[in-house]
Amino acid sequence: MYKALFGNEVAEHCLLYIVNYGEGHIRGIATTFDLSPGQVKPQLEKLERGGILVSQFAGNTKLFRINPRLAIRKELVALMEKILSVLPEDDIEQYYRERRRPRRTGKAL
Amino acid sequence: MSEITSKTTRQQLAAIVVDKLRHHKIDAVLVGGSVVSIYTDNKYESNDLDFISPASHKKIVDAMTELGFMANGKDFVHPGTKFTVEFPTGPIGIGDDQPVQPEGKITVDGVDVKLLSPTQSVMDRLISFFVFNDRQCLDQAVWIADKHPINLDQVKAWAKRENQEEKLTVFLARIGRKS
Repeated sequence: MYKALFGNEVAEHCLLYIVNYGEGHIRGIATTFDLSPGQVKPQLEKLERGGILVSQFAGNTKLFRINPRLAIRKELVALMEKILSVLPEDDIEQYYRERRRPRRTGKAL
Repeated sequence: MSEITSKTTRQQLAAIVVDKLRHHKIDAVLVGGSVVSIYTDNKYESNDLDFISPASHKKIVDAMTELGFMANGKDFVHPGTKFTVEFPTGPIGIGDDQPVQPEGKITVDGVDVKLLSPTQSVMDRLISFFVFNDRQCLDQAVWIADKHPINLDQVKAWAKRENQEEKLTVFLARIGRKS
């Protein structure tokens, strides 16, 4: 939607995903947007090099988040939230409404 | 109290269960997704009725069995309805606030059912957005606020205690309020 602002569409997807869900990893983002991990990885690494994102391992998975020390963090998050708020409803449902709250083991879906 | 059938609504079933529990001197409060369903006129649909009760599991099983429910793990299932009933461990909590006194009530077929109020249900949904980044729950909180008056001062004070004022702004923006 605003890919020109972020350089390319994949970078925009990465940032929207991470703001929406609080964090993201390469495969999760790639699967969500039907991209290859090879498309997502360089964008996340570029954003990390630029100080926009930080990453840490959880087990074998590298999780990316918005850098909590980023001077414009609050403003960036507000901008991404604004973009999320004007996305088409179909996009919201398809990409940004995965259930994240826990479900008891054995509970019927 | 009427028989449980496929036509029994969520509210009716809640009243049937509460009425039976009351005959067994068991207190119970409806919480969770079913409360959202009630307050959003089923815009969000949950087939689970979660009750918090201080009674022992055995006493609850005795009462639920009389209604024709069978225990299936932690769930109670009934052949006549798609709805399942569960009794999660209490007390009622919303974030670090616990125990919480339920401030909502609906009356169905003459039975008073205690439940979270719309404001409490909003907070109950928002905590999943705050902690797990669950946007489905954020949507549900917005839908409740669309249909019911919400005590925003109460929500704001609670969010401050939870140290979640920044995320609360996302909810406030969605309902068209400033923080």
